[in-house]
Amino acid sequence: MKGAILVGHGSRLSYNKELLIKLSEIFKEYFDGKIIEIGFMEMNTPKIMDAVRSAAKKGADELYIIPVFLAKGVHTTEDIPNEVGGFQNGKSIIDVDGKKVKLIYCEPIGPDRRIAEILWDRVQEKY
Amino acid sequence: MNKFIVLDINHGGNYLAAILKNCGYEVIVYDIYKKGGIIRQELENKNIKVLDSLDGADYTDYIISYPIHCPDFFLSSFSKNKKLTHHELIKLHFKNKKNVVEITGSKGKTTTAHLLAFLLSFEEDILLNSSVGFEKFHKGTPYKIFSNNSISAGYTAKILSEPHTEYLILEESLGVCGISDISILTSTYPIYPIKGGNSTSLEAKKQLFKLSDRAIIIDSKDKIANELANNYNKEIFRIWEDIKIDLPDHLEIGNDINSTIYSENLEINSKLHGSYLAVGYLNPILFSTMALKILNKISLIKSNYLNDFRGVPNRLSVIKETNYTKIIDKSGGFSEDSLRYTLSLLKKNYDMFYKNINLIINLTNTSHCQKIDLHSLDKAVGEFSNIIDNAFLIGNNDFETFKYLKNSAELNIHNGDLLIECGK
Repeated sequence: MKGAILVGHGSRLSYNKELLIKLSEIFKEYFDGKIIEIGFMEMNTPKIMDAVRSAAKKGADELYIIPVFLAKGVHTTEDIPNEVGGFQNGKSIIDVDGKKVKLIYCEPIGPDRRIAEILWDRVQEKY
Repeated sequence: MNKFIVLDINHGGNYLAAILKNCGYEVIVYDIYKKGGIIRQELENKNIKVLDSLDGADYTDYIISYPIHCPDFFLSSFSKNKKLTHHELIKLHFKNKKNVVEITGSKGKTTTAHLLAFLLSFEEDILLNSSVGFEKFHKGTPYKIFSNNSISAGYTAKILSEPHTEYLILEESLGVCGISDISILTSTYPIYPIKGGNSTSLEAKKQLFKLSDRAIIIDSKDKIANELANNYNKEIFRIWEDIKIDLPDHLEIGNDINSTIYSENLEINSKLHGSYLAVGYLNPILFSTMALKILNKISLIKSNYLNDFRGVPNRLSVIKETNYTKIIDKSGGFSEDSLRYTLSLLKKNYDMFYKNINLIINLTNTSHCQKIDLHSLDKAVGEFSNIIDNAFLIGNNDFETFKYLKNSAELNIHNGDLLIECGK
């Protein structure tokens, strides 16, 4: 069964966690898998591996790890992969409580036209 | 008859010398650091000769007993002598004892010793020797006997030589003597220099595997401990393999936490009290529970006394004050690495929704053995500048040379803040 983990950085302020929770709700409308979890690198819980475990417990055996980060950086290229034991060509198979789970690592958001549209919306709101 | 020269009046050598003397051996103490003082007087009162330098006499027929961290320089005069570390001498002298658990490791040994003493005390009367003091435990309550103890091998020998009926739980620095039912190695990390920089603390850990010939518990996640264990044909138990614990995904500082401990034919649900940072206690919980299992004290595990445990004072303790939360983490083993460990623990495992996070470090009790480089400490604080808003150091220091550490007189705590108190 397919599942997805939205991965956030984590923050001292509660907005970041709230944002990721809301985003995961919206993401459900797009994702064809049933299981969606959120996980954080630091300062908030659940941690990434806790999210993976939780998804596996609900039946996921193919998990898309989605970094909710704008750009590639040390967090997306090293820290997040390290948390789940690393990837080879963006994929890995890990043992979660005796169950094999395939992890597929997605790209961060990147310079997407849809981001520019959102930014333009934000500007227009202030016109 | 064996004749002994015991090195180092400071690190338990005095106790060892007195025990050997009581057994009728000829004993000389070599006060290598020329500490003298009251300890020297006490030894001389017991008719034990104390040397602060070798007087040119021939000592080749003496057995030399030295602390494992003793710099080679002090042993160079005894190239032809038979040599034993203090730990080896104790193993040789006391052989295997019953109802004793020895605990060593670079980190976590005090917490493990206390938790095991706490749990076991509901069935046995306990004598606990730890860096916090020499205590008696009865049904979960500690009674301090005295504080001017040590966790040296020599002090272990002192305890072993005295009459007692209680179960002994002994925290030991720089390895165990291997006289116990169970030896616990809490961690090999951080590795620190010994012997004046000519060796490392791993030498002491190797000694554990050499001297222990009954059950040994290690951490399966500790690669070095596993590598060392593989070199010896001993009965090894591994936490996180032979026994595991599960915590919920969401953790808040100061709240009780539901946990489940799993082992073969065993599944125990416990509520870990919010008065300590449970994530920092997971290894001590597993070491203690594993030890109880090996000692066949399953009923103690099932009785769930873990619910009543409130943590070890000042070891990742959580105090909820009226308008702010305080974490206290003070131990003799404080270092830049231990600070990194504590801050990472918080950063990686807990929701950190606080207005300001303040760190205050107190190093006024630093011993002569462990000097802390304040500029390295300042740098370590800087690595956590995304969670620490203000960092303070107690005492008169040249604060202008630091980037992050400020004078503790400037500390102001506000409503909704977190205060982390660290140090020795």
